[in-house]
Amino acid sequence: MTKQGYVKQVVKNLNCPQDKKTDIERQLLSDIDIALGEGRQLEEVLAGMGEPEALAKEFNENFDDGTKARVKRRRIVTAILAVALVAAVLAVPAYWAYPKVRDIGHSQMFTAYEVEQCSKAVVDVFSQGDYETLTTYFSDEMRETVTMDMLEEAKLTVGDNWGEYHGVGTVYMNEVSQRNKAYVIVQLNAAYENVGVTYTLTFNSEMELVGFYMK
Amino acid sequence: MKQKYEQQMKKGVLEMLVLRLLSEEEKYGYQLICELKERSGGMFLLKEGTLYPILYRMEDDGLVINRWSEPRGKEVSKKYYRITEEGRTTLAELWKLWQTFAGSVSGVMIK
Repeated sequence: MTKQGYVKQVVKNLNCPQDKKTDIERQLLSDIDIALGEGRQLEEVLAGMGEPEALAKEFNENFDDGTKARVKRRRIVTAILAVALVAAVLAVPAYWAYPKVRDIGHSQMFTAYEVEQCSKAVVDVFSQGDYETLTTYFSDEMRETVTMDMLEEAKLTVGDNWGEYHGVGTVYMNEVSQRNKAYVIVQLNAAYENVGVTYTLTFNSEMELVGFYMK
Repeated sequence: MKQKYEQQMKKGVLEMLVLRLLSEEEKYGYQLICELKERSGGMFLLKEGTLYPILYRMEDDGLVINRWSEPRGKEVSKKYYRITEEGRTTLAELWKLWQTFAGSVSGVMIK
């Protein structure tokens, strides 16, 4: 294996922020060069450092909790945004279909009242941390992708301590349809003691939650 | 004995040992690994995956600071670590703790 190949393999397996990865890459290359400068052979140097995956594993085990938390949080937010993006993409009309965005009042599929009640219930249940009940609102796909930990972490990225839940304000909704699939996208603002949160919920025609986004 | 128990016991003193080595002069990672092996009679065979996270932690805590050296000719650019005043204070405290540590441990082990 080459010097660069070895180090790249180690860095690939590191669980840490990018700035640390870059620094470790530079550090390891420097160490190998120093060893080579002393007259040691590359194979012997790399053998001494161990298998790249094993070396990465050792780094990962020894990183402090702050580093580990940063990586985990970033991954969870990315996953939730990916799910929200997929839902949003499903909800956005394709150019070749017939885009119809219309006021919910004209909807055949959804009644404003039902959607409003459902959305408020979702936010109520989420605010109380009752994730089990929350998942009953999810579509099968959402249930598979979004875990309780992800929801907790998403909450933390919005704010450390939301405080008491004070309820929701006006609920805005729009039906979006593409070919035969209808969705309703709901936006509602919720007030808490310490933060204000805007939820964007996407329901399918079964009134199952296919998108759950907050900021 | 399972190696992990031995590693666990050794892990406790690593920060103190690294600070001690750095208290003499600024040193780079590879150098720290070599010196520690030599001066401990082979007891501490520190690897990069253990040393660098320790150095990162100590840097976050203000005990050491780093600088990359300018490569001169064939000389490789190296990341030097230097102990700070706070590092020296911590080292002194750790050393003081260590000296009573062995006695306390013996107090439990020997009945």
